Amino acid sequence: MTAVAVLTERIVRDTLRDDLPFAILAPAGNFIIFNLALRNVIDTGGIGYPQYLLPVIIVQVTLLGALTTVDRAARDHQWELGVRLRTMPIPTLAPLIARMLYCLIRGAVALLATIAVGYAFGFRMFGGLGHLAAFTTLVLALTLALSLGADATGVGISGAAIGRTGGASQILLVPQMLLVMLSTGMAPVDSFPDWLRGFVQHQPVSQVTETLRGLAAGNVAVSSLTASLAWCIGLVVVFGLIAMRMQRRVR
Amino acid sequence: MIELDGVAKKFDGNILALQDISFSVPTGSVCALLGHNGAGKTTTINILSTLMRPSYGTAVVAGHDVVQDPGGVRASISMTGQVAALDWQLTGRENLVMFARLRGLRRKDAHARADALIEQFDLADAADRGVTTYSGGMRRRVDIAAALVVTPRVLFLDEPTTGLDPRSRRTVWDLVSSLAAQGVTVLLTTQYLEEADVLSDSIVVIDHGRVIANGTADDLKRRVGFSYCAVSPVDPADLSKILAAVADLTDAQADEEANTVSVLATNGVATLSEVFRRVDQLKVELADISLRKPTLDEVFLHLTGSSAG
Amino acid sequence: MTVNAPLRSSLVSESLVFAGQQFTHWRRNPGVPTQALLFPTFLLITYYLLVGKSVLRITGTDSLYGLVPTCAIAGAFSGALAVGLTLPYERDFGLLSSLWVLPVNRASALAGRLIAEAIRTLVGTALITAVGIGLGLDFQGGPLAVLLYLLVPVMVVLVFAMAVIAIAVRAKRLTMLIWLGLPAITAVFASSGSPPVESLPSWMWPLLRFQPMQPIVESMRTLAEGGLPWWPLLWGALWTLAGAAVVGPLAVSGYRAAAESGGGLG
Repeated sequence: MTAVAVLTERIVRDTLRDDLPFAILAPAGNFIIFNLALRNVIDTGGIGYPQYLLPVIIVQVTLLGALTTVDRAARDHQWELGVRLRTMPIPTLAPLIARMLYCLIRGAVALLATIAVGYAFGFRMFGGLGHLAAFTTLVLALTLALSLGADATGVGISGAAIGRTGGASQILLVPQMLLVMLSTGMAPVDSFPDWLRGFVQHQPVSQVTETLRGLAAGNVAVSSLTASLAWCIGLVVVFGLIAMRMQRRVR
Repeated sequence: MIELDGVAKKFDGNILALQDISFSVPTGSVCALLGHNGAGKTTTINILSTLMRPSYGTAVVAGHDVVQDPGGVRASISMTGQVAALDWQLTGRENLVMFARLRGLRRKDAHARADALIEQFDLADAADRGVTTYSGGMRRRVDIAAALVVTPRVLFLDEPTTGLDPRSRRTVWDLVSSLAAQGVTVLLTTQYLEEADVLSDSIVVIDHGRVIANGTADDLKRRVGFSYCAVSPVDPADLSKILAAVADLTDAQADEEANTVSVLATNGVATLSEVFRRVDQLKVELADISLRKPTLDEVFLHLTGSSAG
Repeated sequence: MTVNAPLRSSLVSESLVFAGQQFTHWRRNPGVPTQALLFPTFLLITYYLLVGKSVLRITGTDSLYGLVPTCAIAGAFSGALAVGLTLPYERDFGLLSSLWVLPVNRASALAGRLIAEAIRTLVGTALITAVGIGLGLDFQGGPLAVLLYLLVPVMVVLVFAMAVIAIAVRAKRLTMLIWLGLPAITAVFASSGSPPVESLPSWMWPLLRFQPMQPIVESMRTLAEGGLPWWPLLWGALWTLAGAAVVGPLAVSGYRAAAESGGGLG
């Protein structure tokens, strides 16, 4: 396990000056911007906009984090140091575990930062400790699931040209934006044109933000909670297996 | 200590990078894989260090099969690639500490080991600067030091002195010799015949994925010839006259672009005197006459009957 | 073998060569065209879908008049940022230096980059306007208005691009650039009319009224509505000139310093 510790430490050191601060400032900044821009525009029917908005900010920072993980995994896997690590007597999965630990650390930091900013604007966790625990678990499970998927993708493309230039995250920015902005995380279904409502209502970002909002409010529909948790755990397992397979692959 | 038997490697699209590679390296000796770029040297090293799996054949390193027991192989080897494999965000010292800890040393021991290596590799001034500020020679030194945080049983060096200045090259050579003296088995790849000559106990010559020669440096020299005698006239028009005069000597050829006639110096300096005598009789004005070592091309010429590359 | 070298070419033709080089880079690297063209287009579409109905209900006007210029300019900015991101890399690997030692006019490399930015912005604005019209924007100005509409973002992005170059060429780490981009793009959105200015905190109003993006977006909005925006255009031009005067020399001196540093990693 020392190898995992050493490699995780390596990543944290590397990102301490750009990626980690970004994990704090990006959700905070996004929260403030979207809040100011939309609070008097969107009709949320009773809930304050900060209360409404917070969950989707968390989901968005998780998605953005996953994008950077694609590039990081691709880079770490095929640069000279990464290749050398594969000739050393360390566990084959150590680099993968190190990257996932980093993603979880970063996710936790982002979550804390977002809630702190939210509180400043009036967001409150109305549920008890149980709800808070479920909230945190759901967020971290989502982070892990997306990070594993991103890692598998990054390692998979690491040999190709796009893996080497770090362009994958650029390309995925647009789909990410579509998913986040066209969801009930930003506005209730009625705000959207009719033809879009089906998509908005049923897409995964909407589902997850509904659950998170319910947990924050202290009353969540059990079906929604179980559905979201099941999704996240299922994805963790599936993506986890794929990511491990990718990491172990030898030509 | 290292044994390859019939190793072949096929890449996608049926590209056969290696065919029927067989050779062995005894413990505590230095073996050089000699060949042009693209001959298959790096692929061979990659297979031996478990980065790739052979398509056919077996390879055993330090008693562990590369396919059946790659973990055992990795525990016994250290490797450096053509480009230094360091963490660019860190200093030299931090890199060495990281590698030491990855190898299982505790933090305190890792720092001590890093200090020792910095001392040994003459990196004291630069140790606490980022490795991005290092010269090529320094990077290579840190790279090799990182491979030696724990003395391995087998050391793979992929083109360790390419691009280095003569002084750094010497340093690496001395290091390899002393490691071999300690009982470490070293397999290095190189494009330079001189390096293979000076450093290694045995040479394996690879061309287009096949072993075309295998033996000690002396064996190879005997097959190829000690050196060449080269003559350059002042007037290029005299080239053909000179060639005619030495035509009966071994391997006489003219190179118009280099303005040289060369002859295999089977008797060393005696051949040189003979050539000079003949050319002198022609009353041709000479720009240069010399004895030079065979180039890699000439080695290949002899071994394959055709020019390589 | 000798070649008769042609007579020294002009600044313009040399700059065009450098601009062409930029375009080749963009063809090969998918990140930049994505950022500059796809992103703002989709941003326009999604934001309009998210907010269009609500804004119409609240203010009674179509938010598209403000949104289209906003997305055009925001897109141009993010494109300039993406291009700027390659500069530290080019500096460190000596690419800037190897261009600098060519026997061409000193200003041509930089001018070439700016020309490329201008053309990309022009294309981007045209694309977004087309999409906006598809979404329902009713462009009421004449051909002169269309021309001005397309050129205004170009004017702005040139200054922004120079600022990006000035910073990128000195940057050790890339995060600085992103700190520049965020407030700029926020200011653009805040001036767009969606959200309506009134809905923003009152301490922001004076800030918004007098910042450079405001007259720019305002001019474009007025052009689309069929009017001729004398005041905003004048203000916008003034801001542009002032910006250029500040940032231009910084960009030039920074570029020169970076090129002369020779690169350390190549």
